[in-house]
Amino acid sequence: MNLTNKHILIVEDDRFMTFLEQTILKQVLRNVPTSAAENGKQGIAFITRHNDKKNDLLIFLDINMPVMDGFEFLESIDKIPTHCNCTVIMISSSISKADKEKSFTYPAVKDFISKPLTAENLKKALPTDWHYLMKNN
Amino acid sequence: MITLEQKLAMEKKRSAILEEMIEQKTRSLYLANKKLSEQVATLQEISWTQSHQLREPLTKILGILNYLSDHDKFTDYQSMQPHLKEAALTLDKVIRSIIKKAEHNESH
Repeated sequence: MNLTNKHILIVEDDRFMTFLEQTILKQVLRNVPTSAAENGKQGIAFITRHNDKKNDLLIFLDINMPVMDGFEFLESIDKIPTHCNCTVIMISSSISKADKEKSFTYPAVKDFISKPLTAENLKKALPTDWHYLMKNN
Repeated sequence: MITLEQKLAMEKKRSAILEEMIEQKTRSLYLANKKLSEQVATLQEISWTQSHQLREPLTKILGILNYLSDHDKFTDYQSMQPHLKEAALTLDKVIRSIIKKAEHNESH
């Protein structure tokens, strides 16, 4: 699969939550190709495969996951030379101030959403260069 | 009249008592500090559990309710019902484990 410019990656271990998040994304955004990874390790593999400067990747990242959690994922993307433009929106069941503050210490993290994802909190968290893809925009 | 040897013996006894008092105080401070550290660790664990494990099934229930409010309730409820039940059972399990842990801590 080749990425063409904008692409969404959901890194979430619970497939049903991924389904719910994809439903909200479809509700808010127009035709953005979306992929899913079940843990940080799969997410890193995805980025490595699509590491091209023409790609603009918006990652919805969960924290608590097996194999490689959200913070380990953020540590890893800091270490790999990424050419694609990776923007991360944390999406976690956590409402802990510590988790939020820790997330924002990583430069790729632009926002933190406490689950569940809704159309409203998605619209608020979307980076401005993604706004033109919003439905009814 | 007290001799120099007697004075010295009294002094030694006094300092031995003082040393014993300091040692007792140090020991009780160490134990209090250890207990406090354990309580802080328990609080941190409870905070993590509530934030991740407890909210996880709850956010799933909220997500399903949001989904149902945006879709055809009658046909979608059938497919959502097993996920709703699973999330509610997980929530119950987590709450029970928190209460069990709290009761265990109280008895120690």
